Amino acid sequence: MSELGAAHGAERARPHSPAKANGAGALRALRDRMHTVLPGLYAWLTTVALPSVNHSAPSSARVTAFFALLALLAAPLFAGARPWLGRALGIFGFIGCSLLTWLLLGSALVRNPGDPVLSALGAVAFTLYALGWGSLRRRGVVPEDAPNVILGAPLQPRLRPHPIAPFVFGLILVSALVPVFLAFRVVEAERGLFAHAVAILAAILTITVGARVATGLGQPRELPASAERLNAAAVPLALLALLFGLGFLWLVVR
Amino acid sequence: MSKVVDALSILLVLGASLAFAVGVAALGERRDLSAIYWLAVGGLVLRAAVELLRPRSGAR
Repeated sequence: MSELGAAHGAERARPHSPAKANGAGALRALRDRMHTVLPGLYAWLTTVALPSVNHSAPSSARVTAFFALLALLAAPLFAGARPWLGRALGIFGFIGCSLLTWLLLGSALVRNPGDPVLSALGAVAFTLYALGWGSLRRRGVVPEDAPNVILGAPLQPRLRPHPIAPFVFGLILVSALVPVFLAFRVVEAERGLFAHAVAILAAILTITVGARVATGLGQPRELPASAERLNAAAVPLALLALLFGLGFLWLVVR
Repeated sequence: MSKVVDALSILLVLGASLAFAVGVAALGERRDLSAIYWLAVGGLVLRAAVELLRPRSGAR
């Protein structure tokens, strides 16, 4: 160990007061979970705190909003030592208190001053918050250094994606998002909810199939004979032809 | 032949998303029958794209 390292080690070994050590530990925990705390804080500010500070908001909503913030900030402190408690606070505590706040706000929620742009950004922040609670590799940790890694030559990918695969997938991704944006144009509340559900389902299906199409581009594949392939696609193609026929008939009759 | 299948599958997926978009737009304009029609077309086109890429083993 170098002298500088020894000096740092001695400094680290020097006893601190318990309050100072706790404070430093809390700050470190917050810093380590910054990828969840920051989006969570933004989501809380835009979708929970902002509607709660309205004059028309009930006091109970302000209390639950405050509890949501407490759960959000307390979760990282427990995420290291007691992961189940950290996750319970971060996921169920924070989301549950936010939901309760929205329920208690009732009609006051609709009068959110920044609505709908802030609400949409808050929804994005909630998505990032949810993704942040997934398992992530810690910064600086190399997966190959784990004790369970099988030593040997690194495995090479069997196939490389086609150069245009990212562009094709990007195009499919954009096209899959079109119905999602169109769903925002539906005015009626119930119909709009249904449109959003349908649009999200359509986007998931399109992206799933699109990913398969994009990754399979240009790959050598052993396709069966044309007749067999047509047989495989016969049922959906026949139903499609039937639907087009019905649609044409409908246009003529109308 | 493989390139034709690739191009056809891309077109089918894009067509499916277009059909879904028309369906959702029809839903917003209270044209329910039209919405159901286009959503069904989108689903079938997507299904055809899947079948074109990887036909079921039973059909081989």
